[in-house]
Amino acid sequence: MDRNTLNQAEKRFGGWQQRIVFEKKYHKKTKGPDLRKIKGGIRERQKELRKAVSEGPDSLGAYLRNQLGLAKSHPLNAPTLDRQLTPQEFVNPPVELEMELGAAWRQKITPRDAAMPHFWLLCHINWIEQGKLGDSGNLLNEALLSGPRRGNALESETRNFLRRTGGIFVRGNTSVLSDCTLSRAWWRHRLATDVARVTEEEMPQTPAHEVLHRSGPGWETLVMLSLKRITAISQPAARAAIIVYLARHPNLKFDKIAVKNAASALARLGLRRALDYPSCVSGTDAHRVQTLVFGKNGGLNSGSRL
Amino acid sequence: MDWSEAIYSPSVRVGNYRTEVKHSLRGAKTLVHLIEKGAAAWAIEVRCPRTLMARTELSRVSEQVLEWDKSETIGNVFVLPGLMATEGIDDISSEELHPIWQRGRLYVPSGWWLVRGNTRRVNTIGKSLLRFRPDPDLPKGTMEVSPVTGTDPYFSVTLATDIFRDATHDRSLQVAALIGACGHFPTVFKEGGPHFDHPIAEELRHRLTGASVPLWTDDAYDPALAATAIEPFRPRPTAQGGNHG
Repeated sequence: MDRNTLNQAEKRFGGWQQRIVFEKKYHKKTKGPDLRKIKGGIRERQKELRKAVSEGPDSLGAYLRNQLGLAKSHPLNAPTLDRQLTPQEFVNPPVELEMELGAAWRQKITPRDAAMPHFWLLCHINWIEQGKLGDSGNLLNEALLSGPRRGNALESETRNFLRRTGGIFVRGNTSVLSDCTLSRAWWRHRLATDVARVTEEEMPQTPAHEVLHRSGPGWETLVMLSLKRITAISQPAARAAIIVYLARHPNLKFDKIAVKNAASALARLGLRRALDYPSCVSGTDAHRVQTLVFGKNGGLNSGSRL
Repeated sequence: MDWSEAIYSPSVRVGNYRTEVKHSLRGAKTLVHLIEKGAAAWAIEVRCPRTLMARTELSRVSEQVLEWDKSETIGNVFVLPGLMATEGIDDISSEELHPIWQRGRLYVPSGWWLVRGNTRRVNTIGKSLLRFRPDPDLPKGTMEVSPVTGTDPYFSVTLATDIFRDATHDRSLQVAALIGACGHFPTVFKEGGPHFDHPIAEELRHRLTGASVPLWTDDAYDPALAATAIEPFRPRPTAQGGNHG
């Protein structure tokens, strides 16, 4: 995808997202008729999105291009999706599909692009127009709008749409890695590749990806901590240590608390040593990092001292 | 660091996708000796949280350059300079160490930070805010600044092609663009708006408050004053010994 397309999309992307969802905290000071007017405007735009989805790929593609100021003929050149995905596959891609997509896209998408929600939205526009996410309004509705609902159905559907097509701004930089299902596949594949590399195949890519896939909320915490703080958990060897450990203890919950505890232990360790220093990333040393952080018997070491 | 008399003062210069560090260490002969015999090396660790990138590079010489590809990073990039043990060391003299270490044998494992500097952000606040692009349609010598309010807000600075190339090194152009950007702060970072609590807005508030400059929420806000408090103009050096005629 060329830079100009990305730059152009980025200019409109944030504004469009902000105009199509109602986020209470941004309207704290607005009351009475003004607030009703804002809500009414948002509702109308949400209906417009729902209508475009229900009319099928052509209509939805045109609607999205219009929001980003892209002409109908503007080529998007997204990485290829070989076949049409079912709504179930799109909403919850099985691990085999994640690995297949990750491997196919690994060299075609740079980390910089993969961290941009509007890059993924452009890819989704391309796939929608090609009918890869469903060739009818009903299928698109199931893939892009259906799902968890809280309160207002229109608002929930809109948020589901934004999350799945690149990420929603209210959730910050984490959303593109955790909410957008096909982006998540790319990131998990990348992390699984890192694990295989830093453990020198002691933990091959497939089981590493399987751990990340079964992680549920643990995945979100892992990426959130990597993204939001400058902690030792940013380091591939540190993440590998967590993933290898969880793979070896399949009965352990890969939940928020487990990841947070591991991150704190790693942060303490990271103050003292460079976890990514070459001698620390061999199989033996990756294992050593794990032992230091998690202890020999599976519990988290409170001190994690060398 | 545990060497009580030692002073580590790295000089860190940052550029686009590269950083230059001059490591300077005084008052720790033992550490200097470790570098000389190859048991320790100068280190730079670079991290980009948004792309989950982290890398450590080592050097035997005190002037170190680390470069990375543009495609590897986005948003904030952090650099951490220091000195690292490159092999297990069990013969460290404890004479220069804090008294707490005076008794007992010391063992420093490979990969251990012997010295760590403060973490530096590669992108200055000015750089985080502005992105320069050429626009062939703009009249010569002109620029436009417009806000882009995505997840991370920034300001798109379009410049006429005749001055675009200078934007990489001409500080006056950069500061002028920042003044333009500061003019948009009251709308982009408005109270109750989506970016009011954004880390960039927080850092800007911190910087302006620290410089006793009115914030964009104040009536007395002045974009030019705010911009030059963040990135001051620097007078050009005067030519010495030239012909005066």
